[in-house]
Amino acid sequence: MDILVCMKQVPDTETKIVINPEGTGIVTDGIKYVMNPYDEFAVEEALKIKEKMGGTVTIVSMGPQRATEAIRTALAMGADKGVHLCDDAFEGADSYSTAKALAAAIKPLSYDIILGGKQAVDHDNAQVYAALAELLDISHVSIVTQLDVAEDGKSAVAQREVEGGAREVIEVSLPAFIACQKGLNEPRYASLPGIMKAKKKPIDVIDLAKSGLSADEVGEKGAKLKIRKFFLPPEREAGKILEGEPEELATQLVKLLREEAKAI
Amino acid sequence: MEFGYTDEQQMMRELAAKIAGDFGEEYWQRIDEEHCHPREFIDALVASGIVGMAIPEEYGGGGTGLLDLAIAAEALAANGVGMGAAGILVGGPVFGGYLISRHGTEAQKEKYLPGLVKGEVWAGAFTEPDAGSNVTNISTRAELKGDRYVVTGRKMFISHMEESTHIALYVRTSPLDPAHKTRGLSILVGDLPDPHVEARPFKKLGSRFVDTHAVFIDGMEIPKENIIGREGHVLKAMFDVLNPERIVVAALAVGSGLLAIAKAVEFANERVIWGERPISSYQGLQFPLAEAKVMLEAARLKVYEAAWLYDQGSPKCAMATTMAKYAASHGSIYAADRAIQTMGGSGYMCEYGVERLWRDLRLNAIAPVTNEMALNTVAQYDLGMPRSY
Ligand SMILES: Cc1cc2nc3c(=O)[nH]c(=O)nc-3n(C[C@H](O)[C@H](O)[C@H](O)COP(=O)(O)OP(=O)(O)OC[C@H]3O[C@@H](n4cnc5c(N)ncnc54)[C@H](O)[C@@H]3O)c2cc1C
Ligand SMILES: Cc1cc2nc3c(=O)[nH]c(=O)nc-3n(C[C@H](O)[C@H](O)[C@H](O)COP(=O)(O)OP(=O)(O)OC[C@H]3O[C@@H](n4cnc5c(N)ncnc54)[C@H](O)[C@@H]3O)c2cc1C
Repeated sequence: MDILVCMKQVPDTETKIVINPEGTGIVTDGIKYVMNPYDEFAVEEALKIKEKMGGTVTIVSMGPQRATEAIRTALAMGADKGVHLCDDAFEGADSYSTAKALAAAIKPLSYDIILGGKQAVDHDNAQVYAALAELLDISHVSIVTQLDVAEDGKSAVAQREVEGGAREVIEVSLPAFIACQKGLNEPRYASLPGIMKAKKKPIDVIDLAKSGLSADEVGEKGAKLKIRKFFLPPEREAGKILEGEPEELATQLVKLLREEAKAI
Repeated sequence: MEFGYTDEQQMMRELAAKIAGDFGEEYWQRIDEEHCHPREFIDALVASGIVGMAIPEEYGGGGTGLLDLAIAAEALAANGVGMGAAGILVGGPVFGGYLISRHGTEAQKEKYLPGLVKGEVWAGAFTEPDAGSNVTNISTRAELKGDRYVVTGRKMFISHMEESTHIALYVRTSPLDPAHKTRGLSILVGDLPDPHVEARPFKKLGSRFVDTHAVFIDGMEIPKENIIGREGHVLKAMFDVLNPERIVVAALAVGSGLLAIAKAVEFANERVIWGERPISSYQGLQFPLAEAKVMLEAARLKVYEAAWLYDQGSPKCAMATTMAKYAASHGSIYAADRAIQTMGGSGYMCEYGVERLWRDLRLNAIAPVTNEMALNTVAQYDLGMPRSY
């Protein structure tokens, strides 16, 4: 099996987000970057498929120079090689122009299945994989919590989460894009021997020229979406502490929930 | 000169932090209360490859240097483990690993190193009732009878006897010659348990994640080929074990001290007792913690330098190690003490874990070498002052 994993480097979920004074983005100084947590499930699943069926796992990532760290982390977990779309022209992309660049990098590769996270926790758009699948003319299954690839590698059965905790079971022919959700597996840590070996694994860097795309198809120029402004949600107001006997409290609480919070 | 971590070292720190994160304060409190080995933690550390990282790749290890091991040790400690990794990281990669990888024969390497990668620990028996600071006083005798050495003597404060698969015994193979005090000392590797070895446990202030015993050896037989290096010439091999032991302990101490400071700052930022500002706004609490931080940052650089010198095989390693160990133990005990003070009565209680850090760290002013002996070494060999004793 030739397994691809689309992976993005994102700010650590514990990062305290600060908006820049112009409101055009966030302050990136001092931010710690990590592999998108949902992509960790994808890498883990790819490694499990490889362990079961043989093959290679290739990490495909678009991002600035620093994104190599996240690619190396995936290689240290056990992936075999990396493809890094890295060029100033790719900066400022939306979901569509990201998918465009990824598709260009993926088209020349041989692949039986593509995995990725169900969303990246930075912009939370959850759209790249759908656009990518469309551009590659393959199916996709989103929010997958269980995956079984058929022995012949030609199809897979995926379970996906739907409203109300129910599960949908989907049989899909491969290649397809599988967007991974928490619960699919328990991502392994990059082991020490893995870290040492990662150094020697190849990362193919693809710039704009090598991608075969033109500058106005990718990055900010190729984006269909313009971000007008960044702002933080208003700070949460301090909670209210009710005092009194349980019966009064319940009446007060219901009143507040109904009239102030309009929650019931 | 470069001071940054490489990508690999950064990943090692993250790996260490993740493992540390899987074992919280409650886990280490239970280990402390029950005086038991952190088995689950050790298993995770072995599985991650950190235990075997400094063992050569040919024998299944990670093939890194001591510097990388020190970096990982510090990251484990700083992210919640405290000194808790000291038993496994000294008992495995140092008492067994460095002894064998640097001074073992090819046959010994093949025999012992793969087991150490899998998490076997060794006891390292230097100290005796009358030979602590003064190691040349070792009187445990090993006599060659046919194809085996027969060992008789007493060892003191020996860690890890309960779990160890082997014991590296530092013994006399010929009587003390006052003109050449280190001559006649040899290193033998014995298997444990052994019917001729009896170990009696001590109760102790801290470091309860590892057992410490008085060891009575009466006629233990060790095959002749289990000697490490040349009979009677032990100095180089001994310091190739003692130096990394001190470096690993110092790295763990730096991380533990930083952990104590982090806990104290977090607590002080939350606690408001006068008016509206938290107690962390008082200079009287700030300065000591800031001072401890400076001491630990400086110690860390010395630890890294000492480890780097060890990896280079430099003779300067011994002095750098002595200084690093002193700086790290001194700074970290101060940090833990000030963390307790900052937290007031809460700091003295077990729930917050800083009193445990202090109890564990207190050891490092005594072992692996006392801070007085460290200063003796600096005064005599670095400053060129007369030997005082
Ligand atoms: C928990 C624990 C675990 C240990 N584990 C091991 C182990 O696994 N293997 C092992 O071999 N040993 C182990 N040790 C022993 C440790 O290395 C010794 O305790 C240490 O070297 C000090 O020796 P000592 O206890 O005999 O003290 P002593 O040497 O008797 O020293 C007593 C005091 O006198 C001071 N002193 C001695 N000489 C001088 C001098 N010339 N000038 C100024 N002051 C001096 C010392 O600094 C110290 O303060 C362990 C000890 C402890 C407490
Ligand atoms: C084992 C034990 C037994 C005890 N027994 C009793 C008992 O029987 N009865 C009883 O009533 N109490 C008892 N205590 C409580 C003890 O008196 C308090 O712990 C002590 O007064 C400190 O108060 P605190 O713990 O609230 O610390 P805090 O008052 O929160 O102080 C925390 C830190 O902030 C510092 N700090 C506070 N204010 C300032 C300031 N303005 N400027 C500079 N630094 C400041 C303190 O010096 C301390 O270092 C006991 C405590 C312990 C640990």
